[in-house]
Amino acid sequence: MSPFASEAILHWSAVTLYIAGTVGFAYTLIFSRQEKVRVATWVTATGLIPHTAGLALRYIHVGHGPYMLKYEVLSSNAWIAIVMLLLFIGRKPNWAPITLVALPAAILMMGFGLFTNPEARSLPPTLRSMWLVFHVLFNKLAVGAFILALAAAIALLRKLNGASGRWLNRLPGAEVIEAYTVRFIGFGFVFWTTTIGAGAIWANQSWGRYWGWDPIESWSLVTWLAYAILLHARMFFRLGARATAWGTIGCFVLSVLTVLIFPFVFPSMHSAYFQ
Amino acid sequence: MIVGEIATIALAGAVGATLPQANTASVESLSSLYESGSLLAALTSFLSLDHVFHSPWFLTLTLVTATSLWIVVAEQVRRLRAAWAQRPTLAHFQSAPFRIEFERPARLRVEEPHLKIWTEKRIGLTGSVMLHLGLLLVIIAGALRALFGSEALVDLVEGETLPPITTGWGAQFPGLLGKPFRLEDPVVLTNVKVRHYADGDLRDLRVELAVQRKHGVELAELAVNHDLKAGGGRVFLGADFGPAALLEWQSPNAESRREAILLTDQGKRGYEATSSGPNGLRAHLRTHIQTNGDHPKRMEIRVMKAGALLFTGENWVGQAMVLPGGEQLVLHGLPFWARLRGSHDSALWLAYAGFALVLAGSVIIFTLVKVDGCVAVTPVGEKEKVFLALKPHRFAPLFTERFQQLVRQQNGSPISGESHPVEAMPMGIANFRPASMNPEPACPLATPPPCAAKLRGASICGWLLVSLLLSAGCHRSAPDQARELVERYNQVVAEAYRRGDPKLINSVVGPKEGRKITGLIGVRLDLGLTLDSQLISLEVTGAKMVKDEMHVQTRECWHYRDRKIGTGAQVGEDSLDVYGMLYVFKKTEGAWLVEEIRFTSEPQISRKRTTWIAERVAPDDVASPTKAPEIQKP
Repeated sequence: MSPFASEAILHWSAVTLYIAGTVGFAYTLIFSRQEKVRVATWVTATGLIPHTAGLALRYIHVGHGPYMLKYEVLSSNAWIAIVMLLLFIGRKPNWAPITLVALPAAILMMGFGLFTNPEARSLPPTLRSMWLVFHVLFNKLAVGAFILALAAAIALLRKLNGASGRWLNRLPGAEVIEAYTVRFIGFGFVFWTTTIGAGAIWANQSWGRYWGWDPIESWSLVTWLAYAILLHARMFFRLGARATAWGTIGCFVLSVLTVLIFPFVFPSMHSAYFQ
Repeated sequence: MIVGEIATIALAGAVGATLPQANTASVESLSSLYESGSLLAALTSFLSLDHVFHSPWFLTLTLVTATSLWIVVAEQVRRLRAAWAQRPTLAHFQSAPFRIEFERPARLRVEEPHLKIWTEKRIGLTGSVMLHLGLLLVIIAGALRALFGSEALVDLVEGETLPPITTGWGAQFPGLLGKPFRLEDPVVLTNVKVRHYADGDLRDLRVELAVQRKHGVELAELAVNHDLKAGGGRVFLGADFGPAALLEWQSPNAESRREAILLTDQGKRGYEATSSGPNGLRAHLRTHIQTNGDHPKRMEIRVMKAGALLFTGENWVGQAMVLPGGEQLVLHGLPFWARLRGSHDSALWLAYAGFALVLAGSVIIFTLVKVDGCVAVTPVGEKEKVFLALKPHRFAPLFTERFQQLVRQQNGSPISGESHPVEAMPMGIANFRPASMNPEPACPLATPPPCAAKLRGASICGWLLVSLLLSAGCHRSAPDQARELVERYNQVVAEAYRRGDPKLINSVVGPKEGRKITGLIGVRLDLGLTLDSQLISLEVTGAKMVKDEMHVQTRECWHYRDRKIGTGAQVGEDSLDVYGMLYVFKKTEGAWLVEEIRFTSEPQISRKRTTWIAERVAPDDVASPTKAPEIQKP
């Protein structure tokens, strides 16, 4: 069996288990079977086994980390988002309802990647740097944290709009959800800061300058500034809960554009990324 | 105000990242800013939208932001010092989001009231100061670099020496007050080592340098991502490299001239360049690098003069070619060249310190939250009155469980640790949940919000403006794009016919059309001819985009003549032709390639006889099949 066939089987197995996990979470929440949350969590966590194996096989096959193709970038982003989600749910089981937003988002990301061209690309010499590993890793962590923030923001909006339901009632109060939303953004902000810093150090190592106003560099700065504005407005200017939630969604869209869309649109030094 | 400035910088960043910029974009895309409508052209001119990040208004904005940051940092440091020294008293907990008062059976058995006040993770107060100070340092470092730093680049051929003078570098980019870059010792590029993957992509590039120090020669290796400390700065190796053709032009009526022509990457390990010789001669050079990274031994050379192909062939190193005018072109060698960059930035450490502070500050803000706690116990007969309070600096709702735990502890276990007499006891406080969803700023570092609503309004206006600019900047009408594509196609294909070089067309045609043109050029080459054509006029009469296809209809007027290879003499009549054409472009891997070309009307061809006849079957949708003897078109 070719390496790609093995990877595909492992990835689709993972997707199947993640879908089963999502269905499980939906069942526990809709039918008030709180005791089954653990089962759904374990089913989802089991999906990480083939997913991890698929990514590892990919690494062995192409000889480098998930830096370049949509196929590998989206799969690894989904992996990190699901790991972060499960870690959080493991500690706070009553937050299980956010899985109904975060898991489908991760599955969609992974599914989209699986339909893109998986043909392996060689790693160019400019991408051979330890700083690239930090740059990419922290970017993925940031995306994972922002997905959790997005899920919390959507739950917050539902609460604020007076929506009720068994699954919403399981969540803590709006003020707690909002505080967690801000905290998730905060962690994402830290990771995004590290992404920019590692990229700057890498750029200095490669080209003798740490900032060059490359379009993707600039968009990453714009995204960082957008989150900074949101955090300032919330933490120091008493931005309301509803506005915070909408700001979180807006910033998430901007971060997704920066990470997944703009590298396509604008000619950039990041052209080797996300092909 | 600082938030407004950040928002403005973000807006400027979005505009600069969206529109083509002078330091990163091609000349064509830059000129499109001025050709895509009068409004955008006027805005570009007025706001320097083609070099946003170096425009006076952006630099002024950065300066204003740095000044605001300085004020913020100074104020935050002052408040931090005050907050750090502050020891909370009982009164401090009157505004605590978590507070409760209850009675319990006496457990301490003390006569005096007991008070315990503590503070955890005071270091959390420093996060905001560190983050803002770090940002300020990064901006200062950037300003120092822009003022006193310097960058330079040079293309060196194997065996060439880079002298320790500023003019030894090919291009210098000193800061406003900076000195041009130079190394302290001469450096010789001794060897360029290239490795490719099996599929032909570049795997590794490194160069060996001999640094000629006063005490002797020191060997050093430089690679992509592995810079080299050198006297006066650092030297970097990018991925720009290729073969260099060591050529000698010899002419009967001029002195011979030697030059090193650097061939640049054209993809698939192909490298090309052009050399200008005496008497209007131009040599088009092409060679390939093998996957093992060995130096090439031979090179394709096409010598042209005034549009005529005088020589085409493949020459080995050491070989000379004699041209019709008596000139000679000798290929002496094909070493590698590589581009080195030099950089001197004495404020680099400041930038890195800034990065570290920004990172440390943001980590502290979100992970270490200062919390003040209070337990006050007052004996009341056989009972005790207990007052508990918890006052987190931020994220108050997240401390609910912690407070519940504290309350449980106080119901079941005695207070331990240092105690103080009660100074005052707050009355009427029995809340067991956060006092407010938006607690007042708990720390003196937090600034009160004067303009949140205005900020929201400004943000919306800002994004609307960005959207407007984006739509103005990105919009390019289909006819404009169609004309650009057809012009580029015609330019490339005409040059391919002129040079007798079918490889030139790879960037503009798909496989089917490519095979056709390659065949037509090949037939001419076999006949010892090239086609010299000039586009006299081009009118786009229709353009339609369907998914990944673009159909472009044109009316074109061309001037053609066949020329003999070697002398450039015209063969047969020249011709002035008028065509109605349909181009079918297909987007393939991001590039528009010509899939097919068809005539939409009978071609009008002026010449009566041609030098050769091409058999042609008219496509079905041609309005009227022509009987003209030669109608293929570049």
